Amino acid sequence: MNNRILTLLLIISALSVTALLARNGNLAWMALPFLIYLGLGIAQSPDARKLRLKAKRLAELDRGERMATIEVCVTLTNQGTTIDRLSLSDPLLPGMILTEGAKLTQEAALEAGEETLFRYTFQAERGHFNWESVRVVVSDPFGLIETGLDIPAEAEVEVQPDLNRYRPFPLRQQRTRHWPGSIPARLGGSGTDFWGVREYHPGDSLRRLDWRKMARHRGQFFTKEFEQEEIVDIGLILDARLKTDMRIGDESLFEHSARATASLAEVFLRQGNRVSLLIFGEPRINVFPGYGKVQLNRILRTLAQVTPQPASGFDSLQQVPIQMFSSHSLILIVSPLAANDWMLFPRLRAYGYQLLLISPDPIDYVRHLLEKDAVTQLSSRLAGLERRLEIAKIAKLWVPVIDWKVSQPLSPLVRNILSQPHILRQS
Amino acid sequence: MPQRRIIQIACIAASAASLAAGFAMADLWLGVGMVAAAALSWLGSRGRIFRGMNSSVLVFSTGLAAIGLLLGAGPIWMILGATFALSGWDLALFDRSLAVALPDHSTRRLETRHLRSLALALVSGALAAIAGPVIHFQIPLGGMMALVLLALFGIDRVWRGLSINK
Repeated sequence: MNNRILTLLLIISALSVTALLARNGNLAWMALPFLIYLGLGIAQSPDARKLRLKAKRLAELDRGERMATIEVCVTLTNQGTTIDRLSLSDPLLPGMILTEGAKLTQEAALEAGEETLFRYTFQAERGHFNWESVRVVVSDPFGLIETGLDIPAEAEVEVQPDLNRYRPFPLRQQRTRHWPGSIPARLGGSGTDFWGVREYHPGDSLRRLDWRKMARHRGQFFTKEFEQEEIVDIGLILDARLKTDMRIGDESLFEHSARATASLAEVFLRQGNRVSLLIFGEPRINVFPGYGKVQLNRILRTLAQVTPQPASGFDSLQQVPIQMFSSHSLILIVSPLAANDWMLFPRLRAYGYQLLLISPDPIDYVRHLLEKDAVTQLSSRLAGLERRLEIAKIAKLWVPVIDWKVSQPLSPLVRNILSQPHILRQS
Repeated sequence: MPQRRIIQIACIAASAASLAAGFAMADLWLGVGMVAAAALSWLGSRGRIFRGMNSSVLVFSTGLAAIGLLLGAGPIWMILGATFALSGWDLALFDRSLAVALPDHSTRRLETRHLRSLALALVSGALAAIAGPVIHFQIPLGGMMALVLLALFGIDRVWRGLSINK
């Protein structure tokens, strides 16, 4: 029973009771138009057993520069009797930003065999949108007696994070995997860059003989060696805890982290490396190590579906399961950091991983929204100090840290760290 | 401006005019002032100051008409005022549900059907209410019993219909 019926029943009963108490027949007659209105509505209400509705949904994705535009079109066909009034509606899913003028409900009247179109457009930065049905409410012309139905109309759209195409990073890893790749492996072999000269071993190619050295040392043979180029194992850890996220309207700090992680995964995979991803949030999601475009697609699909959720139990970075990362791999952690998160890093160091922390600055992200009064300024300074202290604890472990203000491009900062191999080597 | 909105404004004006005329004829000038307040509330309900404002204004207008009847205002004016208020309320809610609908064929048909049903309900209701007090006839006891049974049967059907729809 909806509010309209309740209002009418209230008026009818109030008029009837007052008419009886005041013994005034005119008051009872006044209730008659309300009664006839209500009666006509009930008489014209559709029979739920005779409703035959069929829906088909189409969702089209148009990838823009930063936001994707999705057009949803639901075609509803009436295969039963005439419907005087129906309302179609879809829920507002998380991550949907409706375009101007778009509405998630539509009213229509349908003759038997006729169809109606329910269309709306929304934008999304990232996300997985899945519809199983469309909500249809059929009613009499006055909307008094309503029958709600969920008509199956399935569709799925995935908006992967927007990628920043970074130039390849000059990685100089201590340990590489012994598979041909593009990263200098600090080992003599069959690469392109000169590595050194050693004594000739039977089986060495004659083309690699060092004729100049042989001329200086009569009776001895020397072979030129080149630096082997191999691949690197890279692990990405993305912090998806709700407590480290910051939201400003439709934007959030996590979106920057997700986009950075996707862009890093893309550039590392493009360089031919083996990349894995761990999303630390609720639930924890692993993408096991892999190569190439298939792995990139796997990572982007995973990132498209992640939303920061409140933690149900252990939510400190200390609980990160690191077994999935092979030993001595390079691990990049993208996290705004919370209190005591630094305790993860000694453990990672003990296992021999090379580490790089990229920490989006939440205080800088919201700074323009902060009020200028003394209390707010002091609180923001204190939060900044707390964060700096956390970063200092991590830096003390010789872990390179990028204190990333998300308005700045990330690529030069990462390049700067990765092109200084001694920094990573110390870690 | 869509047709439904023009009719809605006309209904609200007619409701206010009927009630004001009824009160004025009975020399109830305070009632005329209250009618002016009700008319202003109807205009305010277009801005939707709070949820359920339309329903509150309908209850207020009908209450005003009932008070007018009790104080001796003309019954025809009061019944007409309440009936027009009911149509104004219905059209206000209908207009809200079609607020962003494009004026296409489907919307026009929905609007036409709604207006037709509303006209049927309110014209017949108002005529019956106005004509009712002047028609006098006697029903024998047996006929009355049959009518009561019919009404009970009708209520049962309505209840069953509501249960199925749920």
